[in-house]
Amino acid sequence: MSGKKAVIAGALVLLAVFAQGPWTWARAEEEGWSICEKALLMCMTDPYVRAGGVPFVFYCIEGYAFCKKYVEPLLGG
Amino acid sequence: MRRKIKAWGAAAAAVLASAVSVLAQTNVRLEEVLSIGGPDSEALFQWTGVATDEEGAVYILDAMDFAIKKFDARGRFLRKAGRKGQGPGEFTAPRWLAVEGDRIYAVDQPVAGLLVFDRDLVFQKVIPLPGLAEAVEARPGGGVAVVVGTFERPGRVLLLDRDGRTEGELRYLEKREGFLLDTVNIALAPGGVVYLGFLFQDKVERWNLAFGRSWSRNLFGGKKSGTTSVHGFSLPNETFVLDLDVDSRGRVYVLGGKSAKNRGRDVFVLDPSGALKATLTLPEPSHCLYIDGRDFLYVRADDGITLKKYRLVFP
Repeated sequence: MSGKKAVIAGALVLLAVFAQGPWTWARAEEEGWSICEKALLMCMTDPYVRAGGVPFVFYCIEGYAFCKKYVEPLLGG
Repeated sequence: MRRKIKAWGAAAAAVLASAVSVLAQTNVRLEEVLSIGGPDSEALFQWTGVATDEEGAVYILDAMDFAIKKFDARGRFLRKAGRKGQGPGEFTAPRWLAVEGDRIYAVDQPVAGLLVFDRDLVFQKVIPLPGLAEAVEARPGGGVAVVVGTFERPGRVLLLDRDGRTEGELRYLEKREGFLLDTVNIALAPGGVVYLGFLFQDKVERWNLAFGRSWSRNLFGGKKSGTTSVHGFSLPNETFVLDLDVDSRGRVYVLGGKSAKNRGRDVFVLDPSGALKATLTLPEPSHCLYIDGRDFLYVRADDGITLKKYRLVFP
């Protein structure tokens, strides 16, 4: 992977992760989740997102769909 | 007895038709005619959506640059607009776009609306929508069609006029069958024809705005996606149709997802009746495909740093 591609792959992960917050890394690792499932869990457990209620959860799920379509293939997941 | 013979006859005819359909499949050749961006270029950083106008200008959404960019028909950069933010003409997560007339309609994922630019990429306004836009396509007669996702009313394509007024809607799902199972990409053809490609279902459908669904077919043996439970939500985890588009002859190009032999590379070409007529394999995986008014194909390369334009050569 070239330098530029590596940077972009890393940034893609950040793009996929819409918000930051505490979440259960251990469980995600245990179950072999792809980057999209991990990003979705981060999004859904984010206090700001949770405070927003249903529309924000929908936003997280929409992000998951985009991640499955766009990001996951780039990372070979 | 006669009825039995008739039934066997019909079955044999179906088998024969299927065999003929397989025989009729051809492999389409790709000739590269244009490349925008690349590892040594700063033109694109991570493009997501593409559309063209009738002069051949190429409009591209760049998620990493939070911008919309315009290139001429020879791939020369003309201008860009947008930056990271939530203000007028700014982007948080630029996704898809459509060109119709003198307007560019762009989707920014967190915005429940469409961002409208003119052809010089001057921001005009936001057309409000009842939910997040999942896909946008230009309507052959003017205006745009938008797939709008809401919890309450899944499976809905809104038909908007050029100014964003709702002229009608297509309901392709009456009730929610599960999260994301209504996620579709759309392609429009003259005569009120709408093709739907389901991201998480093995399903391509042709609808007519006046008469409803014409046909529904699968490309991967009717396989169903597995699910993963995330924070109490059971979500499909396997992709089927990443994107689809239609050319001037009515041929439908369907880009296969994880279920395809070559994820993001296998393209199935269907005729308007849904019969598989040809296949092609892209050199590199793409998340989308776009066919312009002259039937050139645009896809992703170099993991999103490059956009490639190809001529489709049918034998």
